[in-house]
Amino acid sequence: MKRVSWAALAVLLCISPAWGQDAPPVDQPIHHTEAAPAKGEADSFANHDHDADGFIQWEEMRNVMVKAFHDADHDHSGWLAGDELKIDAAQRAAIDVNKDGKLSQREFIAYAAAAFGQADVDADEKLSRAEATADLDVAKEKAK
Amino acid sequence: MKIATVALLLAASVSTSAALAENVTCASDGHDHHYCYADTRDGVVLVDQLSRAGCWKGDTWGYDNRGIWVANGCRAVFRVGGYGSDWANSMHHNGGYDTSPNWRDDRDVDRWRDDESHKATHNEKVGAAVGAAVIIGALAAAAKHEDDHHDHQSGYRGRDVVTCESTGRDHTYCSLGSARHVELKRQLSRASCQYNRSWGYDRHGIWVGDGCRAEFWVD
Repeated sequence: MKRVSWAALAVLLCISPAWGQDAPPVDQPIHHTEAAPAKGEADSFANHDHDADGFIQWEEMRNVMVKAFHDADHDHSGWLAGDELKIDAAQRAAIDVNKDGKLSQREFIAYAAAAFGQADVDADEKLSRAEATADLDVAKEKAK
Repeated sequence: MKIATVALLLAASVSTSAALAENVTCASDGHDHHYCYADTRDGVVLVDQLSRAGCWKGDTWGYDNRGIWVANGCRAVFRVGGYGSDWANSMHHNGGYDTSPNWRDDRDVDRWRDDESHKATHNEKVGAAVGAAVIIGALAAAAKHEDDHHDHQSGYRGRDVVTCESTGRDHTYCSLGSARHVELKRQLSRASCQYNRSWGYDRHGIWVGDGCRAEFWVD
């Protein structure tokens, strides 16, 4: 059985592109204010909480991952290769489960699903803020 | 004799129902709803999202007793007649991390959770976390580079975030310059926001109603 860290998900939630965070104001007038850019860990969690219930469900995680994959797949090949994803061999190997040398969306989703499962320590199929961020500080220290 | 016949028919029915587990691909192009007839008696789970456009249960996909509907660009593979959650089925369908050939319901998920063999040590957790950070960071950088390439002026192609709020039953229209695709990013209201019922859009703006308040991605 592959080993995937639940902490991977915590980092993913806080470092993922967070669609919209960098969005400039729209040119045309709108009814209400532009969403304020979300900064920091707390806002990043909320930014992915689609239904604002205080938890991250798998559906929310899956949509984040799928969007990230499609945005990086510049040539729309269905795989990420070359400059589309700059990671080292060990990282690539962790995702490339079938060892075909190509990283597919399904492999990314499987990686995320495994991380999600391990993060969900109370097995309620959703991640609380504590579950999603428990090891984040440790991971950040390691990344320095 | 009659009882035996009924029992056999019931057994056959259960057996048939269990054997009907199959995958159905259902796709919406653009704004439209699309309906895919399927045997949904035993429920439906989404096992593989194919579209970048979001697939949100109750908003851009769902099912009734005749089949599955998808909307607003959602394309996905659905499992009908199976068991378990979207998460468990996604993991099984996408493969790689599940080596159990019979993993198809939540009891198997529980067994997986109890299995110590896949649980990482602390160092491995940290290592994987850092690895994921690098990977996702690289994804973000790659996507941003592509956006810059396409639109030097804004430095960000699409995905503006717009908040649009309905305070009562009346519809509110939030004007935009142009909108190719709009997706609900985050619901802010207690009232449900459901595509084409309490929110929707056209080329020039977003409408909300029935108390729906939400942030939207605009491409």
